[in-house]
Amino acid sequence: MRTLLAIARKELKVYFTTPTAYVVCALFTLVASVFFWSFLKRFMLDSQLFLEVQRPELLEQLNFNDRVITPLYVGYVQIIFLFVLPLLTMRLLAEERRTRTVELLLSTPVSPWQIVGGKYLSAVTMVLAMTAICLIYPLLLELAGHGVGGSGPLDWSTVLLGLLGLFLVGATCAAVGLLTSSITENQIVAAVIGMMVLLFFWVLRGVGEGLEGTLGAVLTYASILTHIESYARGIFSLGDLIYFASFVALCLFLTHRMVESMRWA
Amino acid sequence: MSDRPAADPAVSPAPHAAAATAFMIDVRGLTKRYRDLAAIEDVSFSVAAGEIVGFLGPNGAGKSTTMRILTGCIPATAGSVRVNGFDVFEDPHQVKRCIGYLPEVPPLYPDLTALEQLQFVAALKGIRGRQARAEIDRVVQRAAVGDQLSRLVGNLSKGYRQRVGIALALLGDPKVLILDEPTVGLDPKQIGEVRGLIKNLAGDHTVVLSTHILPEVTMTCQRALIIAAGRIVADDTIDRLAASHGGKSLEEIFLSLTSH
Amino acid sequence: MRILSIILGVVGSVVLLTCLLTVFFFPLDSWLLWGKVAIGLSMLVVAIAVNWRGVGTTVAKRSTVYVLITTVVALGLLALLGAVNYLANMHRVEIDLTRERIFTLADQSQQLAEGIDQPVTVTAFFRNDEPEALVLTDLVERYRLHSDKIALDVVDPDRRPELVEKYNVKADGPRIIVGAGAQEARIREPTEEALTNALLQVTQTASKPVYFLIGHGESGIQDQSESGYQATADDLTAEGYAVQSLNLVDSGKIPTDAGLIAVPGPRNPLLGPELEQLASYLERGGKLLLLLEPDTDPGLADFLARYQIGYRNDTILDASPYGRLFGMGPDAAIVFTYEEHAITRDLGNMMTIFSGARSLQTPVDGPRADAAVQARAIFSSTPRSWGETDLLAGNWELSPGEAPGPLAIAVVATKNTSTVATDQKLADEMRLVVVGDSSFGDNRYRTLQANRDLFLNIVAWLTEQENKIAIRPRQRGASRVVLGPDEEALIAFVAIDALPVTLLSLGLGIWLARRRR
Repeated sequence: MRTLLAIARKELKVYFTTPTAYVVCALFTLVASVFFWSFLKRFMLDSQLFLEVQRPELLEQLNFNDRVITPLYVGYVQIIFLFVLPLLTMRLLAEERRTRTVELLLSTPVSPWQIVGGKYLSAVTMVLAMTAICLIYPLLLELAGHGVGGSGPLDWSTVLLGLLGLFLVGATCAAVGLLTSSITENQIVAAVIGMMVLLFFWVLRGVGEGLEGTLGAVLTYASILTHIESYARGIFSLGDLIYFASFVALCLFLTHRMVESMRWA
Repeated sequence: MSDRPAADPAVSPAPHAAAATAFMIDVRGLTKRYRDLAAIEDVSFSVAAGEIVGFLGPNGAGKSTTMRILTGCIPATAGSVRVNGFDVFEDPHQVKRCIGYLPEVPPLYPDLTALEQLQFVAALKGIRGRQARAEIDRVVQRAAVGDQLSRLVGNLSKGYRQRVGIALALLGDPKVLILDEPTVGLDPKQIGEVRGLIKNLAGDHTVVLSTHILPEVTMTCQRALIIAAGRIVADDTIDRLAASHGGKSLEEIFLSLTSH
Repeated sequence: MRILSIILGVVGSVVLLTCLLTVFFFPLDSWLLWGKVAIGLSMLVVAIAVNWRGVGTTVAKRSTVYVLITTVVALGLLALLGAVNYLANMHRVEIDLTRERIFTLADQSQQLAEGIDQPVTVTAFFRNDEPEALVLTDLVERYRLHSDKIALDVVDPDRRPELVEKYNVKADGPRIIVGAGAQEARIREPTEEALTNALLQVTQTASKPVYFLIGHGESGIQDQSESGYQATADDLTAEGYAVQSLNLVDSGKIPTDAGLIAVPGPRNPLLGPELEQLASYLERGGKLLLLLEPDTDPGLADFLARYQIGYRNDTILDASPYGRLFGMGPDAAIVFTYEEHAITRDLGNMMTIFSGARSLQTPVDGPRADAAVQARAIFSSTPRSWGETDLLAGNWELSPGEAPGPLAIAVVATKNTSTVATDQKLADEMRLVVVGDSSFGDNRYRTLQANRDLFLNIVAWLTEQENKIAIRPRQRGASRVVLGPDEEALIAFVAIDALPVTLLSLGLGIWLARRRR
């Protein structure tokens, strides 16, 4: 465990002392902020419009959770994760192989599980950091707005569950990124393959829904897109948690076999 | 050829293994093929505890390949390697605990400082806390990198990188040191220092070092293994090699053995 | 020969492995499937036969063993994870953590679902791409958490025209059919209320129709304009009431099957014969709902005096600030405290909103008053309201001669009619509800706060169906944001500018400082 943590700590040190992660996070927040701003602006325009035309029943349906936070998290942040996380994870194993520093890991008493676990832990910590950044948007809303009828402007249990959902999707993207990083020495190739794989699991739902019968149901279920909505809407779904955990477990297993294979073949 | 008592009980050889072979390193029929191309073919040799052996051969003869197999970085196609009584393939963890390895390219992360690099490797080798600090101090002194500890590895000169690499191999005071061309990139003064360092290791440590610089072998090693085109062509002490080849210099012996 | 062997071996393996996918396209006894298996197998056999010695050395290699072990373990892991996911999908555990519990069924629906003792089939005609299909699936799934008697069948009308024909489903009509035994109910919207009441309807007996009076400028049940009652009529239909219009002048008498006569906002006076019909209907144990509007003359003063009820010619104005929360002016009377009554019991402290209401009085003693009638107000406007008699003058404050708040908005009157002769008697009790406003049930204002609940509760009480259920669709609490230009700019600055720039400069700073080392 200590070895695993040492590997994770070293990766995090590299993440936090080189500009790549910061640039990626800055771009991530820039895009997310622009979408956040457009949703908030739209919200304000809608409420003004409904006030002017005296449509109180529509006004009453306006809330930050449904109109800003959920569409931001489900519609955009998760898509950004799909593209950003392979960029963050691409160096984890590919770079070790290219610069042959992997020989250090292979010639010291470190098991492949410790390598994979440490690398993944560092990636998951980055996901956690990016998820934490997403907390700023509901905080801004909490400061700027107010609720009707005594309660706050936001349903925080839904917001926090949404963040958990973001984290789970991010953790899944990171696991795929780590796996693709283990199959090649070329970081760019690793990132591109990672994005392709994730994109495939994203669009799989569309394919599955077009098909009838068991195949359609299986494909729909296998798609990441099928499982990202519950949390953002405020439902804790054990099934979705199991889905993401299974996805991560499978990716980490395959990554482990790739690392282990260096010793075998 | 005395089997020294192990300093660390955790890495002492299994009794039956020790009985079967008194050698610290025992290589039998090692072969590595990349598809149809053989990098090394049927290589066998053994190294006694406390010995310093020079691994000699022209570039591309299979020195690095052999060393990488010895340390468990790549698998052999056939043959077996036992280090300290443990099989590299069957029991890699035990083997890795008693080996310090300096690869051909020092395995350094350019974004870490030298000290961070040393701390990281100390953690990988399972050295913790106060012990790790003392151990880092020791290897830093031996490799003479004390003045560069806070610099980024990526900014170090080639010589210093090589020395940090040596320091990494020395961390944890492993019984066996496998050094792949340890003096490459160093200036003459540093080369002298490193050779002195290696000589000092004799007795307590078993050292295998590869080189294509002949004087290095004469100066530091008790024994030479000469490899050409993936096969061992000579394995003897330097004196005996000279004697059996009619008093020729090592250089002449080397050229005659490795030319085809 | 070796190359041929490798190519055949690899292609054969791929052909064999992809048979796992082929299973999805063809039934297990299809010759196509087994043909593919045979082709894959024969390729493998040829590959091995051609290069028998090569195969031997490959199998003996460590890397081959490794790939085999990995493949087997990976497939095993995949199967295990698949099984776990399948089980989790079969036995869903979902916890609604939203503040307003918007994804949880109301207690009434849960109880109803638990009590269902016969198989119920919900057949819905939606295409895959219609959002209602998903909403309905979600909703039925929630009922199924409480009952295993409910089955859902979503039918694509384009693919199963024969079923469309069989059930006689129209594109613009209700497309969700709830059936149990011979009973059937159709609903339009996949909402909890509609579904619960449809379930109630098919598992229990049907109720008498509700008639909406027309001919005096009332809100019509087919009127889709803002002041129309079309949505409310749909609501009632969804609840299992039959809803019809009634022209009393035309028909001359009240239908015998009438469960309730509703008069939503008459602009012109009701005629004498009509009033006589209504009075006699009430005397026999009938049920009547009168919704009055200010600035109209419904000509009901004498009629209502008999039931100890009076109305003033004013409009309730409310100085309390609540109306502004809903974007409404002072002519919106807001109510959030209620007298104890079956109608108001489950409203709790929820608000009801009456835009332009006239104030009522009760009990009013007079020569016409019937002492056997019991009348009382069930809720009133706030103390800060008053009955403005001259809206146009613009002098909006309590003037002399105007009634100060609180002013009665809704009044109920009952009378025991059990002594009426059996052949005349409709029911043992007369029930009358008068509300000084009809807008709370119209298309525009019905969804505001608890307005809809109130309307459905009134109808349920009047038709003696207190077990009918009004389920307020749960929704998130509304949020408001009012920002000055400076605050707006500040938020935009923090989110779009400060945040990314901070991250970027932090990274560049650390890197530049460190790379010099």
